[in-house]
Amino acid sequence: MKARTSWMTKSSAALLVAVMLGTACSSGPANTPPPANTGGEQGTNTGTNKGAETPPPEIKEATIEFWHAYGEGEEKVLLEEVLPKFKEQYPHLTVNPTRMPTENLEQQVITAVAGNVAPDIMRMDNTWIPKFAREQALQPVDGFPDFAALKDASFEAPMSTNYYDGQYYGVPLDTNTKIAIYNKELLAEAGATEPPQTMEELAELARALKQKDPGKFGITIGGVDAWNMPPWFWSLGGRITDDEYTKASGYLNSPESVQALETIIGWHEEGLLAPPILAGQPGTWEGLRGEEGTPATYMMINDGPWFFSILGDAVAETMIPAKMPSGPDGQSHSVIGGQNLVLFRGAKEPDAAWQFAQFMSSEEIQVLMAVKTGAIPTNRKAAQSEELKAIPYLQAYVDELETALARTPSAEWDKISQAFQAAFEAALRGQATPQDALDAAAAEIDGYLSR
Amino acid sequence: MRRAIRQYVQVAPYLTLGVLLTAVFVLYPLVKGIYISFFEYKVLAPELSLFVGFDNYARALQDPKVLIALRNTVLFALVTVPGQWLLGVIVAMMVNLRTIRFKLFFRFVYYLPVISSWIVVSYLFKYLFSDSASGMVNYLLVELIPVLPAPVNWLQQTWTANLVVWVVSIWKGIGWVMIMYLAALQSVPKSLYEAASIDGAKGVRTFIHITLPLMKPMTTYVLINLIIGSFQAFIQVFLITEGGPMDSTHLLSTYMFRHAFQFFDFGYASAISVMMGLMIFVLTYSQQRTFGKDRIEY
Repeated sequence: MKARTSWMTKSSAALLVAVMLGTACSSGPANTPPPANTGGEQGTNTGTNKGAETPPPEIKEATIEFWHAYGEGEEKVLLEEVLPKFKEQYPHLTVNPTRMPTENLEQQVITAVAGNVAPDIMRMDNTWIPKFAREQALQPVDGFPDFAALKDASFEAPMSTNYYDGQYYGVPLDTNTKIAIYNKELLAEAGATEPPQTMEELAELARALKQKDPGKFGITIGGVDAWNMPPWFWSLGGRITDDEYTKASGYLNSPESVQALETIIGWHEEGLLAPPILAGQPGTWEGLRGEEGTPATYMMINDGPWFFSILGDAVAETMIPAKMPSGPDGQSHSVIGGQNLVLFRGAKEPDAAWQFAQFMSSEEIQVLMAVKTGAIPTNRKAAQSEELKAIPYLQAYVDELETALARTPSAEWDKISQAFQAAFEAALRGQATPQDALDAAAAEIDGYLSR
Repeated sequence: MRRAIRQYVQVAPYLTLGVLLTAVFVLYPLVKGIYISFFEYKVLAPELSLFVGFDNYARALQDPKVLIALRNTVLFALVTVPGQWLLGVIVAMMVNLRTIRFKLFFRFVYYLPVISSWIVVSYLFKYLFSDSASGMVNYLLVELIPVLPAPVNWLQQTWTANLVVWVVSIWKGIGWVMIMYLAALQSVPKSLYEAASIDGAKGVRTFIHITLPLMKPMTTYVLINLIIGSFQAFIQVFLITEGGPMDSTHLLSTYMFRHAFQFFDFGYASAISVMMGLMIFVLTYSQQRTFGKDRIEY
């Protein structure tokens, strides 16, 4: 008996907690809408007062539980500059921030929600919103005061990542994309002083570099997953779904997509791609910069603004930020990433949390975070700010964002990205032809999109 | 009769606690797990769950990745159970030899992996077997003792990745088998060996004809536990290979976990775990029935 029960105990312990508490809280406050969430208030508030700037008439003390997974540097800015400013504007509100580990964060969130100990508000990856909204973990925010104003002040693409099933479940906080980052020295070794403009030029440089030194790589794709591969796949003409995200067949397996994948496989067979494409060592940053005692061997990588904000002066002189080389349509299409602020259904202080969300998406704070951490603003005005122009690397990212594409917004995103990754991995490892791999993935993804 | 009742009342409080804990932490999750497996289950809003009958089971039986995970689970048992057992017995016999000194030291060294955290050990092996020439094992096998012509991408190929998982699991389990057998060896009367040596039996023959038969109850116990343990294996795969490359090293447990906690597909995950539970039950049931009945009297 011990045999049978012990595995069950293990596999079900988490379930048990989740299930028991889940039923307990479902009859409680979780289902009742927050007071601010009523239609009437929305109309009176919009336009009459300035919302974020003026505290509400009744001053009620509240502590807002805030979860985030900011990096160390970003957390420092949050604690030392952002939160004191918030306290200044809203003396009656206290924010209690908790920095969560990124490892297993989703599992921690779902356990917390099931146990009714979720925070009021959380900074969460924007691909998670549909899934958590479907699981009834989040509360819609379109009923809160001044939502419409906030929506208008934000860029459309990041805002749209909060949309699920007819409602908005969060507000955009920061956005990012990935650009090409070149090692000046290796670029020169390949025979160029300026970053290449097109994919063909890049491949030529990579070939030249290979000829000089077979141990060096001109192109680095960080992996076959749906975060590292799309900037290349899309720029080379591939697509995952139609523009309305309803169908993958005819897009993911279109001749253009197959051609894009074949180009990447061609590079791989020529030995132009650095080892990280199939999870090899050294990693992208180590290869680009060289590790202790070993020189740099990667001419370029594709990465986000955090590369520059984290490494700072160490790379300011040696690396060149540039737009991704363009593909057949004369443009490059990188991937949009970013984080949103969401309110949980069981939030104890939804109104205060909403004020915090408004504060975080205000122009002032967005500029502050951009300048200090390289987080690209989602607030239109903040993005145009003069202060941002002083950051040398940021412009390339803002430019790249204009043609960047979003990952499929779907509650089934995890499965879609798995299918995508499996197809690319199979094709690159030579276990399936590009056409077969993409056909299979397209059919599988069609199933997820139709749900 | 009355005495029996009184006795029962006296022990009832102690029993209740155990029964209660079992009910809350074993029986309830067991029943609930089976229940969930018949639903498209929403863990955060159970009232919205959809009853789907045996759909989850049908889906699992048609899922090629379940087959791969099953293959890996069975192979894992076939490799690590005999591996741990054989090496554990050998180590136990060696540590038990009269000529060996510092017994305590050896016992400690071999038992150390058992008490180390799975997480630490998994990461350790992940780094030992990391790709390229800078990996420790690659360095050892290519540079120091040149048995391999080029560095191996251990974790990027199905079979080498599985090998790493097997190696860490065997290495970590040897100590437990050793301790169990060392304990059992203490109970074998010396007179048997003396008698055997008078008859002219030596070394390996005494082991096969005296030690092993006398160890039979312990062997059954150890094997059942190793088999159960092998089906419970999770952390090593979860941390070292994450099921990759291309989902080819998943065990049923890690595949189930992915569906539950990454895809939030709790119904499907429960169906897989119920089937896994049935399998373990069938595999160990017959052994358990005879287990404990054969007592050896000296």
